[in-house]
Amino acid sequence: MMQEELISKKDLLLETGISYGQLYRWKRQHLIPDSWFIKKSSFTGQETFFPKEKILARIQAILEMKDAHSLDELAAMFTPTSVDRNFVLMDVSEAIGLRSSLVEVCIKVWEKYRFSFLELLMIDLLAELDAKLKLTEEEVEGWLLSAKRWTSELSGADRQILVCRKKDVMLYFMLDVPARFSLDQGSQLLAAYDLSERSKDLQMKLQNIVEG
Amino acid sequence: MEHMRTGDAKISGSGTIAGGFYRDVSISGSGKIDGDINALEVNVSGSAYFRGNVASESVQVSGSGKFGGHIDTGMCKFSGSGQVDGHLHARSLSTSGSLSCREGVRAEEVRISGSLATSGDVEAETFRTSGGFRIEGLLNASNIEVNMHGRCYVREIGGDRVEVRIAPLNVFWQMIVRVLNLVGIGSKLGLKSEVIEATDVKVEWTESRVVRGQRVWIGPGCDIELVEYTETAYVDENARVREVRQISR
Repeated sequence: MMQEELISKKDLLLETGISYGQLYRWKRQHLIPDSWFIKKSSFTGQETFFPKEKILARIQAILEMKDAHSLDELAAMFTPTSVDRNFVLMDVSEAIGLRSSLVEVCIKVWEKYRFSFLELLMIDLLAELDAKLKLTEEEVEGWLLSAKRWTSELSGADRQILVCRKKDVMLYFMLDVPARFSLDQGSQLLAAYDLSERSKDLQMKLQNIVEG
Repeated sequence: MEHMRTGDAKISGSGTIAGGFYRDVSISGSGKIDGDINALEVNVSGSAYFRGNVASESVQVSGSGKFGGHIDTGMCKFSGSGQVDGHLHARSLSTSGSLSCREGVRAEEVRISGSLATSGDVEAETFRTSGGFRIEGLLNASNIEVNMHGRCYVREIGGDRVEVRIAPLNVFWQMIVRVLNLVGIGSKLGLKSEVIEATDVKVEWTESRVVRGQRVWIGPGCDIELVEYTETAYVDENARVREVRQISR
């Protein structure tokens, strides 16, 4: 894994001008993922550090949007599980860019028409994978079956998805972040996705349909 | 989902309920619930063991309740003993008995007048206690009000406003603490924590390595290694603070 530049909590507060109260409230509302709070030992015991670039961008985004949106709306933008709305797949498939044949497979595998945000996140990823890797029918089904299982267990988007290929077999993995992994001999990493980043994007896409 | 709630499940005496959708689940006596249940109301007066997860509008336990899974509910009230192996998410949580929760606790409002123990985090808007607690993770709440009646431990506190004091009406406990403070170990009986960080911090009888905040008030009986503040800081003469540092913008 790449070494990221870190910023201490104290410096973060100084740099951004936010208070402890705000920082902890945003953490509580999952505007800032738990995995960004990195504990490290220092001379005063343990200190909390953050990935500098990510946290500064995130706080900037929160500060800019907090006047126009409620904190709950913001939370919905950054985390998927707080969105308890259901979406009819046919209505949103265009925004996601999902082929109509894939829409049918999704409905068949899940045996329903309405999908939660988290499920949609997986379907959105399917559309991306399909466009990028030209999945076969079997691979699509494999993905959807894994996605179905994952979404039933998943409670946050603080995850990473890996797509690998070994010979002719497609493999899908879901990892907690930050995760360190190395692949076995002969496996090839095709793509890696950060779910919390993608959920923000998906939120934007869905917002457009609602408003437009 | 409403149409799936076929009826009530009631045990008076002893019995077993299968998991599923119910309107009301009430147990007076002793009961075992075998699977995940989804109900409007769950009431226990006696003892009950929920093997699976519980989702409902309200959960009330007066007696003893053991939960093998998670609880997701609106109002949650324990006035006896409760043990939760999973997480406990509620709109409001109040306990006047003893409650232990293996994973985290999340609620808008937490009120403890008994004891709470968890090896996870506690997240709330308001966290009010007049009892004791042991939180191995982070206590994260906007408003934290601790009235100590006994020993309190929390690894880390973060929030907007933190106020820790010894329960004013508990004269007996106050006396013990004051006497022990004369020999210099008063803080051993108060709140013990590693880090306290909040916009406003007001603590007494607290032992902590670090206290950080905009406005910090360190009262009598505290034993703190490092205080960092940005705006104001007060340290009582009966407090032991090794270092006070102002952090300037």
